[in-house]
Amino acid sequence: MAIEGVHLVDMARYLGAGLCMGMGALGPGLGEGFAAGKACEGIARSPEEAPLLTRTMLVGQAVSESTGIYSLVISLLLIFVVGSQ
Amino acid sequence: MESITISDWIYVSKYLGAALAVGIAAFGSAYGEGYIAMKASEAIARQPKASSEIVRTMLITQAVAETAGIFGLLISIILLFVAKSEGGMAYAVSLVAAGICMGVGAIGAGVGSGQAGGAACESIGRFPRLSSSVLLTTLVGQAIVQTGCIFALVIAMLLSLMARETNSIVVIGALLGSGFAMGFGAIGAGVSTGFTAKKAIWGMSRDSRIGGTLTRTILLGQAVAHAGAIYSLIIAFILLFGEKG
Repeated sequence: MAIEGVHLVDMARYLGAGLCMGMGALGPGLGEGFAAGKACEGIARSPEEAPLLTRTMLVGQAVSESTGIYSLVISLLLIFVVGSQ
Repeated sequence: MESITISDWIYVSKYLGAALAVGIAAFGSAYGEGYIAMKASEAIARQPKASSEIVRTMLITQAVAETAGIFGLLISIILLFVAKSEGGMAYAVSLVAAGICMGVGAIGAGVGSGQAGGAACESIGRFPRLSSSVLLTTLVGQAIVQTGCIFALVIAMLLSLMARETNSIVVIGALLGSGFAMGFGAIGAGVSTGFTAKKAIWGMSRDSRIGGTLTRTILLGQAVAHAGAIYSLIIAFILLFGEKG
C-alpha cells in the first residue's frame, strides 16, 4: 500500500469535510431549537402575539443558521473545488 | 508486522465499531429516560392522586426515548453478525465509522426525547385531566426528535453494509468523514428539538385552547432546527458515494 503525498492530501480533504460539517451542524441545531422552544412558550403566555412570535423565531433561526451554512460551503469546497497541488 | 492481515483489521473494526455504536448511544437514551423518571417523581410528590396517570405517561415516553438506544443496538448487532468479513482497508475503516456515526448520532435524540417526556410528566402532574392531549403532543414531538437519529441510522447502515475492496487512503478519509459528519451533525438537532417540544408541552398544559397554533409552531420550529442535520446528511452521502479512489 504505497501512500503518496497526493493521496494523503485527498484523504485530509474528505476527512476534513466530514469533520467540518459534523461539528458545524451542532451549533445551529442547538440554537434553533432553543429559539423554537421559547417561541412556543411565548405563544403559550400570549396567544394573540403568535404571528409576531413566529416571525421573530424564523428570523432568529435564520441568523443562527448562518455559521451552519459557512460549514456547508467549506465542506463542499473541500470536496469539489480545492485541488491537491 | 506481516502477520497482521487486512482480515484481522476488519475484525478489529467490527468489534470496535459495535462497541462504540451501542456504548455511546446508550448514554443519550439513559440520560433522557432518567430525566423523565426524575420529573415523574416530582410530579407524583406534588399530586399523589394522579400517580397512575403519571406512571403511565412516564413509561410510554421512556419507551420512545429508548428508540435511539435500540438503533445503536441494531447497528452493533449488524456489525457483529451481519456485516461481511472480506474487503479492503477502506471497508475496515467504514465499520468503525459506522459505529461512531450511530453512537454519537443517537446522543442528541435520546437527551431530547427525555426533555419532552419530562415535560409531559410534569404537565400531567399539574393537570391530570389533560393527559390524553398532552400525551399526543408529546409523542408527536418525541417522534420528530428521533429524525436526526434516523439519518444517522441510515448512514451507519450504508457504511456497515457496503463492502469495498479498495485500500485507498483517500476513500478511508472520505468514509471517516462521512461517519463524523452525520454523527456529530445529529446531536444539536436532537437536543434542541427536544427542548422545543418541552416548551410547547408546557404551553399546551397552561392553555389547551391554543393546541392548534402550538402544534404548527412546534412542527415549524423543529423542521428548521433540523436544517443542520440535513446538511450533514447531504455531505455524508456525497462522501459515501463519490468514488474518488
